[in-house]
Amino acid sequence: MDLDPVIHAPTRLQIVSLLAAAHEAEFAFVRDTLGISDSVLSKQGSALEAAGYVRVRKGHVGKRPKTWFRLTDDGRAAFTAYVAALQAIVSSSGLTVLPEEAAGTSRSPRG
Amino acid sequence: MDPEEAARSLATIRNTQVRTLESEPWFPTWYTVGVGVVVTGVQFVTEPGTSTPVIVGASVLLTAALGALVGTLVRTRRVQAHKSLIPAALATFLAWMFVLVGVCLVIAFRLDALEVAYGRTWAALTMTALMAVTGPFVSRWIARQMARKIEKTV
Repeated sequence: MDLDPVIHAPTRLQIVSLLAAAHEAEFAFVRDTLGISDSVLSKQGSALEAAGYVRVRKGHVGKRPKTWFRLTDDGRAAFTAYVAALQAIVSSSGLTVLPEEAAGTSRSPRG
Repeated sequence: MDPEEAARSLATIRNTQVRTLESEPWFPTWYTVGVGVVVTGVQFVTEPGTSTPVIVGASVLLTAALGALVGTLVRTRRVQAHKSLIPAALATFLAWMFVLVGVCLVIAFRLDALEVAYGRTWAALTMTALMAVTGPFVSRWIARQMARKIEKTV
């Protein structure tokens, strides 16, 4: 099964996941929530923007420049398809994911 | 991609989304308290005996204050939850508002019956105080509700 290479990169997957839960998110919020640096977020945000998955809006709050990210319709559709593909892989194997478990230990046999 | 890796990716997605929604309250308490203060101001200037120039002047000021509140909220919000999550949040928020307005009305009618001066103003002030006290809990609770909702979709 082919997975979208734009979303598949770990940092970009986290950025897209965050934005999928939001209407819009401010640069510093994304950076702080994901625990990544300004430069990494700028680079990956630009890659997602170039792919047409993220819209970047720049503005000011007072005198401070601010940047906001939001998923485009294409980005949201790509994310939904990506999650569906992952779920298909997992369900076909008989594995499942329990919500309360951490990312690294989130496997458990189903049935 | 093997199934274990896919399961880990799904867990990462879910954890990221839950963290996103839980890290900020759904609405800032200062905003609802600000709206409460404006409502209190409206009650104060519309009490019997207030002169027309005062009513007009205060109305302009209160409208400007409300506009400033909304503007500040829009400009300073770090994240807005996606619209698909709003319906679940709205039910809780409206229930909270309904209780607050209900308490405000009960107090207003009670004070009016007791002929206490500025009864409506005191009632609105009480509502504002309740907003300040309960707002942070309600806002966090709504954020958690939204996080639980999105957890079920991944």
